[in-house]
Amino acid sequence: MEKLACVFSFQKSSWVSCQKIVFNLHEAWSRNKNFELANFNLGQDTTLYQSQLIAAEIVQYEPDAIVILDHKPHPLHFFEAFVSLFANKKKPKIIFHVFGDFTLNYLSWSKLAVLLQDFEVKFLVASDRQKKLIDLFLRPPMTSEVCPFPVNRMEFSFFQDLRSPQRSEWNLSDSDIALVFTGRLSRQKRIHSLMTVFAETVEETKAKNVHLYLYGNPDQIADPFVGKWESEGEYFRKIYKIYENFPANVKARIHFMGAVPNSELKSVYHGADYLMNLSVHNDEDFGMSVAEAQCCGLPSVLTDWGGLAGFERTEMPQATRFIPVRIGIRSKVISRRAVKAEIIKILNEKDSLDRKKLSLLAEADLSIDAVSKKLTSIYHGPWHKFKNFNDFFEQTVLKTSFSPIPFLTDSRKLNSLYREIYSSYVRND
Amino acid sequence: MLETIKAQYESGNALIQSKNYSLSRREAWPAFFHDLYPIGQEYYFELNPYFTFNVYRNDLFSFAKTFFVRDGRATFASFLLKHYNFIPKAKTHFIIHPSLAPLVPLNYQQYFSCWHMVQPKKTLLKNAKRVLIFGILAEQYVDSVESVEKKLRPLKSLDQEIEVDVYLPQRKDPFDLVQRESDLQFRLIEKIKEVLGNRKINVLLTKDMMERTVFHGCHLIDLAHDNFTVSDNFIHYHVASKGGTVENFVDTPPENSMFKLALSFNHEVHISPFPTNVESFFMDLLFIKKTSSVRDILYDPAIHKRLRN
Repeated sequence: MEKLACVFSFQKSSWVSCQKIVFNLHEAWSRNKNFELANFNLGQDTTLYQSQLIAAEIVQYEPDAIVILDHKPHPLHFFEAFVSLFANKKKPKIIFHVFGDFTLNYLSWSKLAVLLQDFEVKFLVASDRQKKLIDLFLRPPMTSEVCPFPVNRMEFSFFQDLRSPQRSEWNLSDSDIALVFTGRLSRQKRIHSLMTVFAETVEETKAKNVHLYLYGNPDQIADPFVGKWESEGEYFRKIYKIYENFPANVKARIHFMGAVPNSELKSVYHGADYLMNLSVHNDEDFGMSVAEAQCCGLPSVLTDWGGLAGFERTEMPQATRFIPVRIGIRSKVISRRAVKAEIIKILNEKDSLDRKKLSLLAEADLSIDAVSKKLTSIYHGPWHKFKNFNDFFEQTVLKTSFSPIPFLTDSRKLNSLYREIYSSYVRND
Repeated sequence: MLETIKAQYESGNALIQSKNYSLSRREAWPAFFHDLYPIGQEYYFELNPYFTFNVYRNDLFSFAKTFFVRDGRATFASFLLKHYNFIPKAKTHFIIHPSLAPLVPLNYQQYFSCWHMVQPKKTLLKNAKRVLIFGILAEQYVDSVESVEKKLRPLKSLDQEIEVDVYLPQRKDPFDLVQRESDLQFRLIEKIKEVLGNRKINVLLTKDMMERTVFHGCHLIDLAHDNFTVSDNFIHYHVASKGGTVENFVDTPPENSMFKLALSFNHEVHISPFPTNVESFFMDLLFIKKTSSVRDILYDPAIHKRLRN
């Protein structure tokens, strides 16, 4: 029996998808009967003193491994306390579930690296593209390992009977097509582009049976890496102004649904015909909404960016359609022509996809049980002693720690550092 | 006037925008601004929402074609008294809360219009799934325990199963020169407990409140006695824009609404002309100012008393 100390915030994360991820990851670890789990609450309000108390408890517990499940707070202060209390006892292995915010916390990771020297460490990431990004910073032979964020089948699985009531709620007939987006209405999720391309397509095709449902609230994250900040309410006004300028027949087909409780999303995914996600978010390491939609059997149109690319189902290529993305001169550029082409294809589609099959394929990869097996295999795989991050990481820390816009040139173009890091997020073949 | 508002809507330039961050010079904002957190939090729309007291240089009043005044009575009165001669020269059109109209000097009314927050689909208190009680625990915000009791009285008849969230951040009176201990907080919490009885209460911290993303089915009761501190309260915006109902908002726009703008999927702001037949008491304020020994009129208890009456 291996003793694992699971460290995470018992308080829910403000990041909605992360609330589920941490809970589901914990469940995945706990399903292996060979692991004995003890939970330690490293909350977002935890003080330095409380971190020390938690560290002392863990030292006393003498775990075989420490698993850092959460992205917030960064575990730096916890490890500062842990290493100082640890003395000469047997070093536990350390597992980090790395989230998309790794690139926002270079300095903290840099300080933590000093403390992790000679510990056996594993960095688990949720997608292949995120692995590429993290591996840019690791010193061989150490590499990160891919373990997707799990989906709870009790919450998201295929259930045909949900489709009809949801369509009735939307007032749609069988011949209508419902495209849906769920998540934050955010600049980097390119909601403005999605709406505009949708409107252009409706105008061009004169289609009367297609609808776009946007679930979620606007945010103010904007795109700081490319030098764009927004005030509260600014993105809402941007997209709403675009919406107001559409002709009436288009406005009637775009539906702002606001944020809804997680429990309602299962019906939404069953009622919809396609999930649309054009995100080019710099933290897009996975795509929890896509994972949940796939587990409900919903096909999707996704940008070929970051973790979203990992939802390709080779056994069922028509289930995921990808929109090309490139890193442009000043920003990330998605092919609007390709988005339009995909919507037109959807409008002309005759055969519907085998949703149950897609759901089963997704579950085979993403269910808590599947991820639990993956975790067991990773845990029993080879371990390496952590020496430090590599020189490129140190250069990145230096360049990013002292500038609010480290990825822009003087003429506000994306610089080579950005391209080097985020080329991991685009297709390079 | 309407043309000015439309032109401002089209340009969308506002002091609060991130691109104008350096222009705002937040370090120059008055210290009492921190006592107005979170009700004074910034947010954007095209009509340039801002507090007059955060303008540290007169030319910034002319930054945009409109100045959507978020101030409450205290700071708006102070603005009028301090900038009396400047207002006609400011190349902007001021949009104020209708309750501030009586403060405007009679000969300046053409420089002002009024705003109204409208929430067309309000959830009535009796149909609410949750109730959120909000108030800053300061006398200048809630006025008195009696005033709070009156506000909470309708809750007594609500279904016992309905949960109540309470968010009561503690602040000192923002416009008070005398630093003194107040027992208001204790008495207020006792009163709230007494009114709510055995009902389940969840106490929210600022973090819980600000990070909450869904307020569907939630009805907000603001314990503010009036708009003495602010007229446009960020908490109202926060709750309404995330699906909740704000008691202070009306459900039908004013009949003379000439312009509207959605602030979220759930609420909008309407602009109407300055009301006719408003009796201005600006001259009273001016008289108090001239005869007062208090150095800064913003902190003058005599002015406060006149404003609240």
